[in-house]
Amino acid sequence: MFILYFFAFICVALFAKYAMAPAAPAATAAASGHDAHAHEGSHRGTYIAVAVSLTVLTVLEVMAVEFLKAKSHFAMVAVLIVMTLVKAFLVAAIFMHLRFERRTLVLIVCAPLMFATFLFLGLMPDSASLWLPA
Amino acid sequence: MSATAAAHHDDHHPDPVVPVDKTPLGVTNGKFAMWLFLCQDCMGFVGLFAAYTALRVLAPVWPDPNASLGIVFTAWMTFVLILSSVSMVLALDAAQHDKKGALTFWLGATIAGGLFFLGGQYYEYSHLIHDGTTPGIHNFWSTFYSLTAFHGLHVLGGVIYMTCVWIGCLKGKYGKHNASHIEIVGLYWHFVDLVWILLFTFVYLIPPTPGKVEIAPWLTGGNG
Repeated sequence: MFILYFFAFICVALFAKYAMAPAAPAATAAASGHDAHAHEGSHRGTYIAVAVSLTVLTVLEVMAVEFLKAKSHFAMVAVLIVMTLVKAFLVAAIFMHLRFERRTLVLIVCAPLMFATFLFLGLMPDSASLWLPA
Repeated sequence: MSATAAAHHDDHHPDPVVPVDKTPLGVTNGKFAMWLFLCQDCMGFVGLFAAYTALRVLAPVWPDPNASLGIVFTAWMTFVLILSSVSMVLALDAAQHDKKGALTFWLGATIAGGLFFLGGQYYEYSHLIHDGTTPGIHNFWSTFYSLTAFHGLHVLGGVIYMTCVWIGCLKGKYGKHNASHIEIVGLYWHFVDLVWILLFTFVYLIPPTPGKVEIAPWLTGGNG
């Protein structure tokens, strides 16, 4: 079960990676009469592939709670967090088109990640005080 | 809506006057503004997530969310939200190819997905409140309600925003020349979807470490 599970996860990861490869058909579709948006083309196939990946990852997440709980808590939490970050990355990169934007814009919109890290680190001493010797 | 008025005005002119490719970031002003709004909105969610994390880590024991929340039901809600994100990108694709009928259909489907999600959240809340698990009884519930309600209000805002655009679609205002307006409403909607993806894992799925599970009083018929 465990091995099957990770096999499924790797398949989805590969599928997502394949889906994200710049689509050659999009370029030809663009050339056939949509000159104004030649650089955009049609990403419809990519969109569907990402949707399938997101759905499968959601199912795998729910399964992880079912099947990995008794095995290893750490493995389950690690798997959940990795899959969630992959999903968030797919939405931001493909649905929100960050993969197709200029790097400057990507850097600007990633600024909140830095501030989020500061906020979490700033709250850490409060939380960690629980385990410090009195 | 001034946005639709501007779109109407732009019918015979490129939008904006400076070609998008020549701007420093390669995007329209409206799109950049939406990104900046999403950045600050993101910090709002980060504040709530950080408070949730601090409270949960600080607590010596924490209830298992899988015991109190409907995981499978919420997984279906997640699925619907993902589908509505897909219909949103298909709406954008239709707009970029000037297919006005498909644009209206897919944007309508997105609105339907958002309404379904809101209905699901109403159903969930009404059951939880009926069972006596109100925000006031435990940090678990106060953080749960603040995070999901803040997200739910974003979904509601998105549905209202998309309905305004959809009415414009019915009037034929949107097409290839102003597809960026559809892209901007899409950015907002995908952000709401992205937040739910994080929320689903961190609030609904991840259980506490085995030795630190609190036997919730509301499950044993005690206080609550």
